[in-house]
Amino acid sequence: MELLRKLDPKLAEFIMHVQIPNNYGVLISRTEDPVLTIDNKIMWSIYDPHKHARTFVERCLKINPPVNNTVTVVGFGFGYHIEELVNRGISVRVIEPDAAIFRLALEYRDLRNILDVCDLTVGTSMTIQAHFGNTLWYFYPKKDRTIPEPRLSAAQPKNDASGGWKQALSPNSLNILVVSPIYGGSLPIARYCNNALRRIGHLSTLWDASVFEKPFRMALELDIDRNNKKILCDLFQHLVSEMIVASCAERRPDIVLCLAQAPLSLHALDRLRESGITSAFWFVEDFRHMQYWKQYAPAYDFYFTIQKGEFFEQLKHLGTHNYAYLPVAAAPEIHKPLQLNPDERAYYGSDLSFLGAGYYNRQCMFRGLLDFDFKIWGTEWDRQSILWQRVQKNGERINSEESVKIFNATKININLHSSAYYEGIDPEGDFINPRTFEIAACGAFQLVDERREIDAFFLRNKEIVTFSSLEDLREKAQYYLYHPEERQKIARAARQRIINEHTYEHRMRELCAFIFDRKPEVYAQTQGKKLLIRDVNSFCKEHPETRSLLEEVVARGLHPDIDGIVTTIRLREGEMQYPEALFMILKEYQTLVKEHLW
Amino acid sequence: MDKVLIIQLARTGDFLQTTPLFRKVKTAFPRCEVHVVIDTALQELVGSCSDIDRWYDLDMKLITQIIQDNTDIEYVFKYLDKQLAGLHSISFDAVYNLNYTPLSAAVASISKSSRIYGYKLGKDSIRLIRSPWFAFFNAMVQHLPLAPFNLVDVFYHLAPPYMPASKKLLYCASSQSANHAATLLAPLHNRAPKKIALQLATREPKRTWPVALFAETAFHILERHDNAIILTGTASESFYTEQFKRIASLWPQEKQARILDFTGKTTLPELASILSNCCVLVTGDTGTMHLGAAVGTKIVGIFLGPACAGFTGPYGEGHIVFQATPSCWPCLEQDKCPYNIMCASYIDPKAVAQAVCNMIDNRPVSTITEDNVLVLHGRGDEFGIMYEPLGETEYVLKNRLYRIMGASLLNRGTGKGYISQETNILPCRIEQYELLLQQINAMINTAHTFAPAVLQYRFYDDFSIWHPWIDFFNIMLRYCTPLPDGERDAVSAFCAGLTAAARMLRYYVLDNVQESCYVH
Repeated sequence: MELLRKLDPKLAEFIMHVQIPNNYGVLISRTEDPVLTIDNKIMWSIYDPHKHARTFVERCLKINPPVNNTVTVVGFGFGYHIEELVNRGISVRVIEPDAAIFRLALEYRDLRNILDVCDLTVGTSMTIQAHFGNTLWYFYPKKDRTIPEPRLSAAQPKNDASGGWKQALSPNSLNILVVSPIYGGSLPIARYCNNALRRIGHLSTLWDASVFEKPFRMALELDIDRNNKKILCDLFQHLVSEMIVASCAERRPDIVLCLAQAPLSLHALDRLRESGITSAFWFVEDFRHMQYWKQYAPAYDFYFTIQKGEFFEQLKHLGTHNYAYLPVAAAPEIHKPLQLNPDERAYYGSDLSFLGAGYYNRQCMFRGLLDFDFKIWGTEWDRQSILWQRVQKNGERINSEESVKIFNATKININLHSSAYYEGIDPEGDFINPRTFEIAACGAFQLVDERREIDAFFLRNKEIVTFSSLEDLREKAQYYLYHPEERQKIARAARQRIINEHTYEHRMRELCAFIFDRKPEVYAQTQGKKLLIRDVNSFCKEHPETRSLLEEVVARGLHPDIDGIVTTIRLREGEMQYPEALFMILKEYQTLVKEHLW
Repeated sequence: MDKVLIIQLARTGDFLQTTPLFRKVKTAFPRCEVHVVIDTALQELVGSCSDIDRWYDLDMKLITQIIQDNTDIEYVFKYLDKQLAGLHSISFDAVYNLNYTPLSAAVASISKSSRIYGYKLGKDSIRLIRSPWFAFFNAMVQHLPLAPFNLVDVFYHLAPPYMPASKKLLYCASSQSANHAATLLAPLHNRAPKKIALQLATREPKRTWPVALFAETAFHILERHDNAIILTGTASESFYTEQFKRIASLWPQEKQARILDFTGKTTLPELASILSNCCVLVTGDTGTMHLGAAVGTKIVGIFLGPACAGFTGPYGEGHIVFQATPSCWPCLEQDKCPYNIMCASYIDPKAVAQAVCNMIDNRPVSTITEDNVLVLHGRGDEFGIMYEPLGETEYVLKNRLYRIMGASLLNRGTGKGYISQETNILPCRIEQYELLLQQINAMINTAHTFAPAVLQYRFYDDFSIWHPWIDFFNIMLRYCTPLPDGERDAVSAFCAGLTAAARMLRYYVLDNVQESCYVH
């Protein structure tokens, strides 16, 4: 405890005040080492805890070898396995969700060898998810844990004598349905989220509502009474909503993640809740501009926002339970430095450029930049305005691919957050727009307007440069136009920062971690219900006829679980083969079991 | 044919309803091996069926257990492989999948046969492709109470060749179980030789006649001193029996002494033997009913809610069914009844008791009952068994029409009416015959001009009698096994059915419509 006080005084203070539940106990093993018991169940070998740790670690190393010689372990227990890992020179991050166990360990064991070398977190934490990118092992008792029950390892005996210590061999994968809006700025974000979720190991599918853009716009543009138009749009939304619910009924996702303006009605949300599907919403918009969130926020199980403070107050007032701050990010697979050919450079390039919609403050401020080589890209710019001559592509919508070219080709990207009220910079601006991250991820240079939150994301003047007024903007633009090395240095640093901290993968990990923190049963459910192949290689050895199919599953980026396998079978051409038919039968039985028909 | 596979993964009743099909294959191709896939729970039944050469069983309970206990595919995969590997190594001349489930369709796809009939998985492995005959059956199910064919005949006629139906289910109880049954029934032997079995429970409340009404029926039956009551059911149904006994405990001792309770005390073969010793079985739409019919016991069926005697009535001649027919009949299996299963009270226990006594005495059963109840009689023709009320109703006309239209599907190309008109004399003369013939004319002409245009008639109310047939045509176009000449084949099936219907109608119309319209 004294060592802990030195290492982490806050944690030591916290541990001091932890109460040990009555059902936790300690037994002494034959080797006279302490062993944890919960509800009189022995949680580690009572014969030789050190030997147990050795065999356990060996088995885990074999099945799930560490990446970069680092493993993340969930479950400290009495630390025998951690000791073993440390002795083997492996760097260890440990998360012990149950502080009481850690306190008992401190009381009964001498942990000096471990504590100062391993990275330790006690208590449930978002960090668990944050580490999912590394090799993750679970060492945790089954009963009443705040973390989901770890998966049963194929390598372990079926009835583990140690009373349910199990390990997970791969990240917890969830079945997630990402619902995009019909159109709008959050549409590409839905795609980025879907890709990011897939990359961090979840089985994610995009429900792309943008296919309805045309008919929806037709309804919007009908020359009819406003009230009738509203009824029509509501009906349209209802239909799309029903289609989403129908997809959910079929796919049974664990989580439905909706991006701002996703066409899911309140009624549909109720139905999702009834069928036990967790709903989450990422409101990637300014809450001051839009009002619809007031109605919808309480209807979602989880609500993610890009603003805090006042917005949180209002959400709380509305009775929204699980809300969290989740700023936007960049998708480095899309937003990346590009080598442009001279034609592209000439077309997309300029000294200064702005990409975005023609909000009031932009219309006002950009009039002061007309003496620069300045291009404007994007929609909703006033054709009557003096700025129109600078608007490119006749004010058409710019897609993601083109925007990356523009960011890359421009010497200085102006990034002025929108305001429909102020003439210049919005002094209340309390969120960072996606453009900030996207420009940075492209390795392009930007001048961004002064925002309250900017310091939380970038180092000022090293990774980003801000302006506080038109004069300031003109001055800095002049300066950086003539200092290209500085520009490039800052842009490079900003890109590095994005890759390290602000990608959609990071955000999706945080999102899942929050859900995990508040509703661990989402994970528990999925672990209970998902039938999967633990070890594809040994399965293929046992059933060689399945090899080509399983290789295809993996090649398609799907999980070797029953859904991934069946999806692959359905996509395959030709007559159904014997192992395929067996998997199909298995899937049908699983459906029957789920529906409790038998 | 050398080897045939039949997949029947449903319950006891469904298996018994498939027994005539097993026999048919054996009769038509004596050297053909009949293989079946069943649920393990039905093993006992398979043992009693001499027409089956080999069976493969899948244990739903075990699989459920494995899936719930393990999330690793390995365990279930191994089990399935073990159970079905045999199937994979045999090449079957034909596979008949009788269950409309993706599960059984996936099982069918294990066989190497390219000839899968009934239901099979489509190329997308999602959709179920039907044989035309089953497509017809599916269209009928959408239009209940129209029920021109008993499910037994639907199964029976799936496999060629076209043979007249045997009109009975097959079950052979072992002599051992017969002896055991005799011992169990011995106490009643001298006192009350005429035994009437009551199966109180069905598998769902909407189909279940209240115990109090069963008890009242039993009370009336026991008025005759040579009658005895046998209560049947599984152990899980003892709740109903207890209720029955509580009511009966208020009756005179003499009556109580003539009640024997075998609920949960018999195996399936023993139950069959007991039923074969009974004169009549009073039951809802249950597996016990089919077992009773298979061993030759006369059945008085009580059909409520979604149960429809036309489809699942006791198979055989001489059975009767009290079919409750409120305006909401037949309801959907999965829907909750908004009327507190009121239809159950429409059937009068006295009338049921009277019917039972008449059947024992071989006297005709009276057809006069309350409103909202039909007393249907099982009668046979060469196609099989149908359930009809006595009297002239449109219900009868429609069923007869569809019976003959459906039959036309099975003998396309032969030009012969599979059901002869003589055995299908329409029970009534309806003034609208002429109009119906004109409608047939119009539809046939449309089908030949531009097939999909036939679907327009689905929206005309005055064509409502043909809606099920148009639905069948629609299914044919969309979900059926691709036929050699594609759409034309669907059209000719559609027209052949209408032509058969026209022939039947014309039999009663003096002024025949032009022959040329129907012959093509």
